Amino acid sequence: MSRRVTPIVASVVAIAVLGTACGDSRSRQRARTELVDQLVAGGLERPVADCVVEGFFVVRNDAELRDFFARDELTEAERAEFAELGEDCLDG
Amino acid sequence: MAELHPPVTDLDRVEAALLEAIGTLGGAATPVRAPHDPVRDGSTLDVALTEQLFDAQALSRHLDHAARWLRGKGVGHYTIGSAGHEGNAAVAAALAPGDPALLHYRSGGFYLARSALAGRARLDGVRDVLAGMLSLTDEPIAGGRHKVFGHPELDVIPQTSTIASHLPRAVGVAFAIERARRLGVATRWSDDAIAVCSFGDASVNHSTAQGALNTAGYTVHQGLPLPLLFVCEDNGWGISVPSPAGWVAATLSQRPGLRYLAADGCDLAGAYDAAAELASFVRRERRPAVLHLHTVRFMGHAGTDVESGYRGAGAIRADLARDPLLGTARLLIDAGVATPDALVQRYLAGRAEVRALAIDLAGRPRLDTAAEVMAPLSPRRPSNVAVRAASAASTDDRRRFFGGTLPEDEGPLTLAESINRALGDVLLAMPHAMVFGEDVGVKGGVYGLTRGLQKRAGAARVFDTLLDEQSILGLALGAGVSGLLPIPEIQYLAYLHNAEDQLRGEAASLSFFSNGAYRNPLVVRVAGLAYQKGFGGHFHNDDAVAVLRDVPGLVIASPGHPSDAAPMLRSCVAAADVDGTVSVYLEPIARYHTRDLHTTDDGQWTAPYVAPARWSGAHVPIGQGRVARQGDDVLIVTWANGLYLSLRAARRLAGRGVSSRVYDLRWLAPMPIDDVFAHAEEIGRVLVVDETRRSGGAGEGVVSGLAERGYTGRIARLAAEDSFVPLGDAAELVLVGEDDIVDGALRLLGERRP
Repeated sequence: MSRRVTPIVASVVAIAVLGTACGDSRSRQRARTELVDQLVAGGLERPVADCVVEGFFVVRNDAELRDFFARDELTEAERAEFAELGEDCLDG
Repeated sequence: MAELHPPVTDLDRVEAALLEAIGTLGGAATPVRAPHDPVRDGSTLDVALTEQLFDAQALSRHLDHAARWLRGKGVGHYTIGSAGHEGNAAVAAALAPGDPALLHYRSGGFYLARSALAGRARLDGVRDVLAGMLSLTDEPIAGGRHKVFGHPELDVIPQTSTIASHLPRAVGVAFAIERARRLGVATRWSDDAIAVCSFGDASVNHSTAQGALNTAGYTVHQGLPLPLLFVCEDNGWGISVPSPAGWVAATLSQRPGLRYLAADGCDLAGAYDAAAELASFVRRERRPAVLHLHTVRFMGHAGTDVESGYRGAGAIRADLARDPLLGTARLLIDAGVATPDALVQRYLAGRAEVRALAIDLAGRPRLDTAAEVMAPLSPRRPSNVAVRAASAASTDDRRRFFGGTLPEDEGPLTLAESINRALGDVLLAMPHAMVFGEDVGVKGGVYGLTRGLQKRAGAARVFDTLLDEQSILGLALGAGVSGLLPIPEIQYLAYLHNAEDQLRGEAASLSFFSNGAYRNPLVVRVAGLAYQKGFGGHFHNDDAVAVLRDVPGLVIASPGHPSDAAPMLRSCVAAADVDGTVSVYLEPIARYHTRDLHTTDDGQWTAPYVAPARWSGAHVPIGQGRVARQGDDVLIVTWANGLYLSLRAARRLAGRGVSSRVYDLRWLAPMPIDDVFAHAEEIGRVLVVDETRRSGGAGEGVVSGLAERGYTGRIARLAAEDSFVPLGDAAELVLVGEDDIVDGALRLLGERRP
């Protein structure tokens, strides 16, 4: 399952944009929504995409998310994290 | 069941069972009830309020699931939940929003209902609780220090309670509402307010709960008002131990002076009717009552509790059928104002809202430094305290109060007399101050410390309590948080220990866990320490101060000489009033009535009472010691009885050509170690005379404090043996004596006493 999730995530995260205002929950929400939409557009079912993105966002503060969205590539650790989230979410 | 929207992939067993059960409820009734109709015939709960409370209950449930989800992600830190107890939302609805509430940890329904009924936005209360779980600095009560139910604008006083340890304070709050009204003192509660406190069924058995219930009954028995609603939320379990069938009802329903009603907490209308009836009774009659709310408990005691290890699957399933949310859903469907499908969708929409809010909040800041964590522990404004400590009533008022002769005109006073006069001045200058404890009223204390004060300040402000230290301190905590200034007396230090959690877990922690939003100004006078010749034994000569010294933020004053007694007491009282400081004022009983230091009639253990005009100059700041005798050969660091013994020893040492500098610590917390260090560096030979025990005694703090500051000179410590203090002359075998001090000083100087 994770083999299916990870490439989708990797292909879309680079184009998601997080607002610059640290602590602005609307920016955070918008970035989350956009990332979910992109994962869905990439082929994930919405509940799974919601679940993956929720798990990814909840453990990161705004600065960490800004750093994430500023990069074009996933790190190996992020790739592993998405794989794990994908498996968890698909398992329900 | 209808298709879930939004789609959900991680419903747990309790949620799935709830939604399935709601889906099977019958269709809408006819006729449809209007918003202000009773939700059920015969109930006082109307439809509109039921809908509002359903939201509070459902959001509370979502918080419990969010807590576990956040914990699973490693960002949530608290999973003790309210699932199954959401009927307590009905209690909130039955009260006025400004009624002070002291809630236990399963109060999500209550908290969210109060938040909503106070007019806050729908998710404000949810945000508060999530912020607590995530330990965020902008959490509105503890600021990231704990997950508690509390909010200054909602009059919910946060409780980090060990088992039921907040109940004595609740009694105190209820007492204070009425006492303050009688005294004409403004508090933070309205005059017709009632206090409410909640606790679990297992907690009923705790001595603290029993003490609070007893004190409530005792108060009523005396004919005194006490507007307090006890709410026992009985889920039948104390973690893994079941409450014996019928026990809780048996122990709560037969209490003298307390009205009792039981209700099913899984039936919102029934719970509301009972709560409203009792709240109305308590408010009208100003008498206490107990609401026994039967609930269920879902998802175990906490996130780490595997309930299946001690409960059968059948019993757990049976509880699911009593889900309080299901009960409220049934009410709404039977009233014709909702359909099963609409309620399921409403539940899931709330679930998504809470989850989304949790994710957004997760990015917020946490406490970052130790200084940030500790900031609200013991805020100090010494300049303001100094000003307050120097304020007194007018001379005319003082003359009337003291019966014609002002204390400063009485001549030299003993320690006991000095404390007595200082208390009188406090009572006169501060109308919100109260002095109470065992025997302090008519008798004036077992050692006469409060003699005459009741007659002068009135029985409403100086009064006897029942014999229960937990209740004495609880009374003080409730009075303090309400806006009064309590000065309780603990008759002997040994009697404090059974009630010590009221100081540690309640008094000292309140500012910390409320980020300064709530304070309980408090000066606890404690008669203690040893050296009462020929009297008492252990319980009247206790010197166990270790349990006090490690309470964060607690101030410990211990005056030895009468000249310090009044200014130090004024400093404690002023700090309580200005900063909400919690102080223990530890009085050496053996020095209460001492008059002489070296020879009969030398009068050197007395001091004239300083007149108010000179209080400013005589002020003793918290944490400031003093040199009691000048000298250059050896520094003797001591306090209280040790000061008396050391000054006597110093005179003998002088006869042998040894010049001793005697330093009186005066404060055991915060200790003036920097000052001691400066003197130690100057002299290079330090003898610590510690009248408390070798292990855990205050002298340990002096020695380690000097070592940590780099003191490298000679140092020795004399301390009491690690023994209880025996009766009679045998006491001298285990306590530090004058000869020991002389010997110790000479040893430091390399000499031997002949």
